[in-house]
Amino acid sequence: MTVSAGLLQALRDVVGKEHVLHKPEDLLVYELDGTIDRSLPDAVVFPGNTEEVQAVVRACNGFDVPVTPRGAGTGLSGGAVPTRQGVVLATARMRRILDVDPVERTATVEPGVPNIQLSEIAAEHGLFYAPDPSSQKACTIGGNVAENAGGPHCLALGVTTNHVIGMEVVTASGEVEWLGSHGPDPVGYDLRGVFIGSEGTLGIATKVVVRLVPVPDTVVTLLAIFDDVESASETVSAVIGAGLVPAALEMMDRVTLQAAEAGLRCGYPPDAGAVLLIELDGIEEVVRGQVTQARAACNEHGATEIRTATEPAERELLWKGRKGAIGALGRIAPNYYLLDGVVPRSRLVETMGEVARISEGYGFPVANVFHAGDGNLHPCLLFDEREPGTTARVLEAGAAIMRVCVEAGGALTGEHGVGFEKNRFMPWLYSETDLENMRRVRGVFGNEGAFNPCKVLPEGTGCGEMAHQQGALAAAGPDAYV
Amino acid sequence: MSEAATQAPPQVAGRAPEATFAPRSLDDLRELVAARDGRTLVPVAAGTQLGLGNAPREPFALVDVRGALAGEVEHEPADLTAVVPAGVALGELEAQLAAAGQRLPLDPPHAGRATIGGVLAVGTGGPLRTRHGLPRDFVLGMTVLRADGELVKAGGRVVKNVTGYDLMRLWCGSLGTIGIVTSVALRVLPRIETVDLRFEAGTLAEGQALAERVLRADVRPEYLELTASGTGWSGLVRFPAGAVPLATEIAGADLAPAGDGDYVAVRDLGFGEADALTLRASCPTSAIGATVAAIEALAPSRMLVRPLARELRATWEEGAMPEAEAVAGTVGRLRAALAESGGAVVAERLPHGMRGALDPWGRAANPARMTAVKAAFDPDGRLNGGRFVGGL
Repeated sequence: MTVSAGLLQALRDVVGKEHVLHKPEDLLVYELDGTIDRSLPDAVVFPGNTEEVQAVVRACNGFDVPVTPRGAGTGLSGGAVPTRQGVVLATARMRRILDVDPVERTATVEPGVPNIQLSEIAAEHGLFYAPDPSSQKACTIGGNVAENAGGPHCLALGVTTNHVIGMEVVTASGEVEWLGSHGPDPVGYDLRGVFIGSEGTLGIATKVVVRLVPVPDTVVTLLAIFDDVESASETVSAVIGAGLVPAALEMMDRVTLQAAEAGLRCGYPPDAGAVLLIELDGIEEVVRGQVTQARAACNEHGATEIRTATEPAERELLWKGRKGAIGALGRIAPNYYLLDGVVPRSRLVETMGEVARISEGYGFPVANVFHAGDGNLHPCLLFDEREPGTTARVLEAGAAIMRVCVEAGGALTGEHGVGFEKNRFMPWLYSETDLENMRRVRGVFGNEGAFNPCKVLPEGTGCGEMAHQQGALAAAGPDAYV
Repeated sequence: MSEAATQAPPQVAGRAPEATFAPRSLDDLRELVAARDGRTLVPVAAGTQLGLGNAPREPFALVDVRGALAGEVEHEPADLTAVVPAGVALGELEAQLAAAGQRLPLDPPHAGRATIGGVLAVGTGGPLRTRHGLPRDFVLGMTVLRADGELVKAGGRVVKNVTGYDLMRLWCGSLGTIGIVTSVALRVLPRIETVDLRFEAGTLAEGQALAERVLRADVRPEYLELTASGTGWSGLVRFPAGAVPLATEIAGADLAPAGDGDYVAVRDLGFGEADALTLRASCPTSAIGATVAAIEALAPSRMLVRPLARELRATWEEGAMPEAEAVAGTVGRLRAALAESGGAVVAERLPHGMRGALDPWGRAANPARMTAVKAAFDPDGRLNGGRFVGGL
């Protein structure tokens, strides 16, 4: 217990008694996020506005108690897990839409607003918010800022940092200020840019200004079926070689397809080896030509079937297997370990070969879904944690796969974040000097170590052995989708 | 390493350097930066933006980094990436990418000779920012020479990556005050077939309305520029070839083929030899009209508005200069009016005589945090000390 009676009282004084949880049974929900790294906080506090966030941060700093910010808790790298206990600062009460401006094409919202709500409120103006992480129905814009969230449609449109132009934050040191602005191009260092993706280690966004973009005129989704991943990958190369930058370019392998077919009845042939989803958007005249080019690429590389949809409901059907794929894996094995790695796109096929070799060596089946357009792969190692020793081995296999990604010239995470799951792998990519240089950013925002501790950068003592023992072993929920 | 024997080194904001260095290798550059000789170092490559910012803290030396940061581009067409030594000129890079059917849609003033390192340090875009954003939006990873001579990197060379802090965004637009970019990994794009067209827009408001229609129709112009001409406003626009018929219909104006020099003229507006004072303003759409009117009152030689990027630029040639007090007064009022919305007015070129009257940057929203950034990475003010916002 790191939270004293004095701090508890201080927190209640700030937000009101009803917005502070501290009984163990109330805290359980807040011990984990989308991973199963767990750590029980001593208290959870729900501030209602910026001033309360600031007062909470200052109170915790005053008592030298760790603070861990939390949005919807859908993260996939342990970012919202209170690794060193202390106080979880949840933004659940901060859900107001403050402004929608169709002329400037911006919206200003509080951090607890769910991602999907931005597009819903923008729709009446013919606009939408582009980043669409798979958890978008639940995940909050504040969490998206922390993780620099992406989504299947970030290939053409970019990730959170390309769409958040400014935010009010409470820094780790408890100061309130704006980073970026309501308008474009403020002068000075791009503090906004370094804050986005800092995984909640520099402060908490309390107001977020997002850019809204016009809804595309025409959207066409193609689903192409191939005998193997190699042919589908060659098609991806051909599409890019033809000069197209599709809105989305997604692939699934045989194991995933079989699970999706069994669970969701998508109509995939039983012998399908890979499915490629290609989405193109723009004005009809241009999209029509692009669809012809994409179809030609599919045919040239041995597509056995191509389905095309233009209407939203039909397009949704083509996406059904992709969106339900991870959830469907539960039919094959009780547990999966969902990885997030990136390699140069041209090395996807050989990396998948390595992934297959490693998982086979460890005796785990592997299902692959990936954002083929940008080389972001999500191998899922399938296992049963009830078998003694399996958890440790699946983590070992996961580490070996991460290593393969790094050696192929890739990175440790394309969209889930480093968090607590992978911070010990950071030295594979960065020197001690690089890491120390990154650490300086924390000092700039006044994080002396207790603000969302043990995340992003490898830490010494005091962070426990949690990840080494449990890791990010995802419990397959019905809506899980990456 | 010896001091380069060049003739009459360029001045920086009206001040002459005490020395000019031209290190020939990265090691030489590291050694030079790490040496504590009491001078401020002003890195320079093509020198297209030497007029930007305050005068450096004296004594200072110019460091021509092109020799030290030259090298081969590693272009991976299949990955849509390129790793580029910072001393490579954009024009040279563009030619290499074009040979493989690809491009880097960055076109700041003098994009041909400006180096990628300089472009990232300054951070401003050109016409193509309307569709493609700022230089920072293309950076996947960077290696930077810190003020203490250490080489540090962040990011990587894959197109999607959230591994570690995004220091690249801090480095981009920092005017070299927290490190000298030595190498950068960039996202590149396939080339597309486009058509450049020009039109008479009528009033500024009509031009803005046309831009809005085009955006809403999803025809995705690569750029759309409005320039003040004698009687009204003219437009210059680049459409994807396939979008031209629809775009023509939507524009509701006569679109004619653009002239050969039209694009470069708007790209480089404000950065010609005779341009003595150049202001760039970024402001919300709703404030563009009032901002333009305030600047028009100072009778600029030329002015352009980038309506969809919410940016405008005005320039005055030598001999057509307004009074310093008038400029300072207008800029001060605009800055105050734009403060709430986060807009900015930056003097990209400023005659020496006006420096006392006008801060080229204006005030940052959070000066203390900016100071903390500088202190974290260059505590002694070795790199470009004095030139940046707030004298950082």
